[in-house]
Parts: sequence; structure tokens; C-alpha cells
Amino acid sequence: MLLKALLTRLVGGASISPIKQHQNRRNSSKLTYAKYPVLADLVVGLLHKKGKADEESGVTNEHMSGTSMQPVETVFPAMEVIERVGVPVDHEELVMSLLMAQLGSPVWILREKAAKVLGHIHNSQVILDDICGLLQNQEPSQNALHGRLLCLKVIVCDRPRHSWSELLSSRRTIIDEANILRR
Amino acid sequence: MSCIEAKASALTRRSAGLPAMITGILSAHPDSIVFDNPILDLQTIASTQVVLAADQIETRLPQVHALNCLKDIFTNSRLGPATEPHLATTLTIAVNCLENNV
Repeated sequence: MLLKALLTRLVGGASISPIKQHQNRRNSSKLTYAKYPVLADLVVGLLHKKGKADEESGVTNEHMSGTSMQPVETVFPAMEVIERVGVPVDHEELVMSLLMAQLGSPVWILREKAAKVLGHIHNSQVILDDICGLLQNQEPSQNALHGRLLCLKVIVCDRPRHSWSELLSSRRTIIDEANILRR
Repeated sequence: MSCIEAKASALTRRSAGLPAMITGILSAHPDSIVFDNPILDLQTIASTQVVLAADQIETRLPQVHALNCLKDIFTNSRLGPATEPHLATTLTIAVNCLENNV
């Protein structure tokens, strides 16, 4: 409860529309992480945390057991911070890789949250490349596939419909690849 | 602070009136020179390692009361500016508490 209260004080508690979040996020990200340098390290640390059971058995973040509940309580707040504030610039590559790993989490709610966060923080300039990347990588687990499809759904629903016609007309291959995946 | 230790075994979800009492006292003088001391004391109590003995009849967790007090203090709008310097440390304490088995 204390953590949630503090995060609400730092980044706000009211839910705002995804479009407005994306518009505000770039500007607010630097402001909050610069003002509270410890926040960036905390976010990375929370995403890295493993449950006690996983630590004892040597399970890595990519292969967490479904019975380990502690990571949900540590990873979820971190993803909430990233969703509202954005990715810390100094740790961008690491955080993005950790978020991508969460797309394959055995816990549904973590996959869903990671998909939502990744879907909202994507750079609109490279959105088509992001979608191609999500479709092309062949993941062996159903969980990872589910996470990637959730992320795609968020990306597609996040943009206004009229903007897609321009993008799709120039990138026909995306539809072809989606059809291949559906088969 | 002595109430927190005295009532450490009386565990309630929100620590009853303790947070309200401490917040009320601090609200009276948010700019006082001694405002920082209670915050530091609460942070110390909240950071204390949890020790649970198997043969203990009652469970003493003053950390619970300290955390609830800190929550009320940091969510109080009157104490916002005064608590700003302690925000980072309290955030670290809150994150570390997630690792506790209790």
C-alpha cells in the first residue's frame, strides 16, 4: 500500500487515455527520472526481481514458475511506473528487453500488462517495424505467442483507424504475414 | 513512536488510529525543524528486519504500523513539501519490503 501510494504521488493515479499518455510520456519521462534518480534504478530492480522459490531453484526470469507469486507484486508496479512515466533513458535497452521477456511470462496478468505497456510506449515512427518484429520472431511457447499477440492488439487499437490506411498501403507485407500466422 | 512499539503485536490492516495521530501531530508544524526526526524514526522501524520465531506466542511487527504511518504522511497534501526530501528513501524502503515473506 505504501509503494502504491508513493507511486501515485510521483506519477499520478488517474487513468488517462492511451493517446494522451503517449503524448505526455516523452516530456514527463525525463522530468520524473531526473528529479528522482532512484526511480530508474528501482524500476530496473523490480523488473529483475525473482521470487524466493525461483531463486532457490535457480529459475531465471524467462522461465519463472507459475507458482511464484512474488514477481507479480514486484514486476507489476514497475510496469505501472513505465506505463505512466516511460522508459528510463539510461536503461532503455535493458528495460525493453525485460519487458519483452514478460510477454512470455506464465502469469496471464503480467503478459497482459507487459503487452499494454509495450503497446503504449512504442515509437510511432517505427511502428511497422515493431509489428514486423513481433510477427517474425518464432517463439516456442504459447505464453510468448499470446503475449506478442496481445501487444499487437494494443498497438493496432491505439492508433486512429484513418492513420492505418496510409501505413498499410505502403506496407502490404504486414497483412500477408498476419495471414500466415493465422493459418 | 513508543505507541508503535507498544502496539506491535496488535496488528490491524491499517493500524487503527496510529497513522492519523502521527499525521495530525506533524501537520501542526510541517515547517518545524524537528519534522524530519519522526520521519527518520519511522523509516528506521519500517526497515527493521522481520524476525519470526517459531515458538513466539504473539507476532510483533512494528514495521506494519510504521509503514502505515508513512503512507498516511506521504499522502497528506499538507505535508507534501515537507516530505519531499524523504521520498526517495521511503520509496526504497517500500520496494525492499516487497521481499519480506510476511
